[in-house]
Amino acid sequence: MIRNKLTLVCFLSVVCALPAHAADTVKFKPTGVAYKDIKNVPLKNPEGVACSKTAVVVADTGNGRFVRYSLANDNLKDGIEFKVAEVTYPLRVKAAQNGRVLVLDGKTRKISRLAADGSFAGYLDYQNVPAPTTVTPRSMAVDDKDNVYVLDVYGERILVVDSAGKYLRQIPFPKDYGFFSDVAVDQRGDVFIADSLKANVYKAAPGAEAFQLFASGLQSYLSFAVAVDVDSQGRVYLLDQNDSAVILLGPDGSFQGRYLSFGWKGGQLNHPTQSCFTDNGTLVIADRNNSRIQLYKVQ
Amino acid sequence: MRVRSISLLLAGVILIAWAQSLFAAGNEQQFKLKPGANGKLCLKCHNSFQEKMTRKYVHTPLKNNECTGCHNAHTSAHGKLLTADADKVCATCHQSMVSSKAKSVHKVVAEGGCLKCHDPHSSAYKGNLVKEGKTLCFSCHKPLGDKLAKVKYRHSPVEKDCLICHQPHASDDGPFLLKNDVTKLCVGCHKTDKPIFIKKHMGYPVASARCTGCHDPHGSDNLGLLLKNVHSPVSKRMCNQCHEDANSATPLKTRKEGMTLCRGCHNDMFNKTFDKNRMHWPLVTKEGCLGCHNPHASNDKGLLRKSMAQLCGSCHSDSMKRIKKNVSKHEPVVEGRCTECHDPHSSDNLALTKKASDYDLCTTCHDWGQHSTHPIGDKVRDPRNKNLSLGCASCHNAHGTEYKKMLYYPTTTEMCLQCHEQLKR
Repeated sequence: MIRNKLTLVCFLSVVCALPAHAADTVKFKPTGVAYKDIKNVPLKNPEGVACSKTAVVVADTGNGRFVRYSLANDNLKDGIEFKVAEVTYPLRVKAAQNGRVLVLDGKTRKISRLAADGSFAGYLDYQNVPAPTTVTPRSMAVDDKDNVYVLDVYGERILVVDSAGKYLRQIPFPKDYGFFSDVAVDQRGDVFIADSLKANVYKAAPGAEAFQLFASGLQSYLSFAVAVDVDSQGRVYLLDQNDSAVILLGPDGSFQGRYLSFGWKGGQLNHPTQSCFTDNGTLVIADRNNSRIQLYKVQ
Repeated sequence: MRVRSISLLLAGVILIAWAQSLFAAGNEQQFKLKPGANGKLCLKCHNSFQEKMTRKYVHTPLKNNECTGCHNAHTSAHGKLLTADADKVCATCHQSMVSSKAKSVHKVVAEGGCLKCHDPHSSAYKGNLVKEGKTLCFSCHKPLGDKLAKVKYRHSPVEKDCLICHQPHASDDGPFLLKNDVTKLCVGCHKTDKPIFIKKHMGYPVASARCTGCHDPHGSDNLGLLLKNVHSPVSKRMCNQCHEDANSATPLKTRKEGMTLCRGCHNDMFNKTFDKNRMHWPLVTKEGCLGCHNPHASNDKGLLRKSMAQLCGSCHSDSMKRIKKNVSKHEPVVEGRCTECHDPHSSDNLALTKKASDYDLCTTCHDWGQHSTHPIGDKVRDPRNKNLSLGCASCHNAHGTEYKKMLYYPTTTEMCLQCHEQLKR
């Protein structure tokens, strides 16, 4: 009898402790922040951030320029400005191979390729793309083979092209979607897209011809997913632009928690717009309305 | 053989009736009920019901003197000694008002609000309705009733009875409780092969088109019940400005695809829109202009598909949800005047606002900016974040908050102490 009671107590304590434990397993610890470039020119509403092995390239949207920071001890150093005449309003940046960067310009709504030194290397020129031939990118992602996944809001598809723009394949948007704001590709080649209006995330396995629902019913935790990222453990991060937070999903799509909050002080967010992971797992966030870049160690 | 069957049936009915009377008598004996205890006795005290029972239409239980059909004579956990909650008691008998295939359901029916339309005891109107015909409908649908009282032209069924087109409870066949899909319902009366119909529609085969894209099914100030605002080519009957000729193989096909067609006339607007840094993304999707605008006619300004609040809210539902919860709300937001502050097409500014600085934007309406105020402007740094200057949005949320004066914090003190930390006690 006593044994049974003890078993029950043990069971209940484990069950009760589970949610708290789950909530405590992940922590977002602010490790660094960048407000200015090396010449003390303040950032102004930066919307894009791209992480490569040794550097973080920031689309300093409000200033119509880029700033390249070097990474040191989970923080950003230097901050060298570079401007590209063809890109006057950089909205989103993604790192490609060998230090190159892809950038989406708000004004032209074209994706440009920038060389490692920051020079303009031409627009992403789509070749042999099936109808519709009009491509309107809202975002893009790059895989480890340097193939580009273009979130084409006009063609209602993810268009996969090689680094030169040559058509490889396409994955149509799922039915009854709201509006997709971002695409991510993980190390395995899984493609993720975030539906900002319906608070859903879809996934397409490598080579798949259609998206499958990965996570749904996130409305309670998420207002407007503007960006999606995947870490090395397969966990999915959604940036909530309108409610200034990060929503973490497990590799199976399960909701793991809502992190960070709205505010102006260090560590808080105000309308974040893009994030990326450095090689050592630091999460870098373009904190747009706070005009800064923030870094977090996800523990 | 037939006579034998009828005899058997008759015998059965008599047997059931006899058994029922025995059962009732048994009940009365068991509980020592006085005769008429199920209702007739009630009327001795509730004598106002004598008048109710003289009305033309009396609810069957009352007519049969069976008050206990709905009420418990002794006690009840529900109001008015009802045998179930007021929103459920009707369904104990009337279970089949909404079928499982219903495409649309009257909101009051779904909420169990039967008594909003029906008198549970008796009425002078058929179906125990509390008012007659459209008078009843317009007691809730008041804006529509008010509008129809003023308009020049009314659809003739509207003059008679809403139930000519609508079902009162639910419809298996159409939206908005319509007795059929919009087009099928319309062409039931308006014969599309009549020369006058063909002439009015410039020879275009509109028999399968959605009539409510151009016409107001209730009433309008425009001839032909056209919606309040009509796209210029439609009002000039120049359909072929956008569509291929009526006698072509594909008459309803547009001359150009998507926004390229619209650009043909609205070129200046397009040039301005596409010259900005930030686009409203739906504009560059396949739907283009038609995502928000009706190309033919609309009751809303700018040929919007819905009222601005509904239209913007159909995508920005998260904002609308927050706004509903807010205690303090910005007036233009409440009234659905989103374009007071935002440009719906494009802008050089964040959130597609019409001005770059929130100070400039706010002071277009709020003249306090011309008087003394807390130091704000480009030169005043925000103590919480050195990259920000102080503006209206440093303390107020432009849409509203759950606190007074659209402040981010519950009290003014808490708000001020965000920056003036040295004053904290």
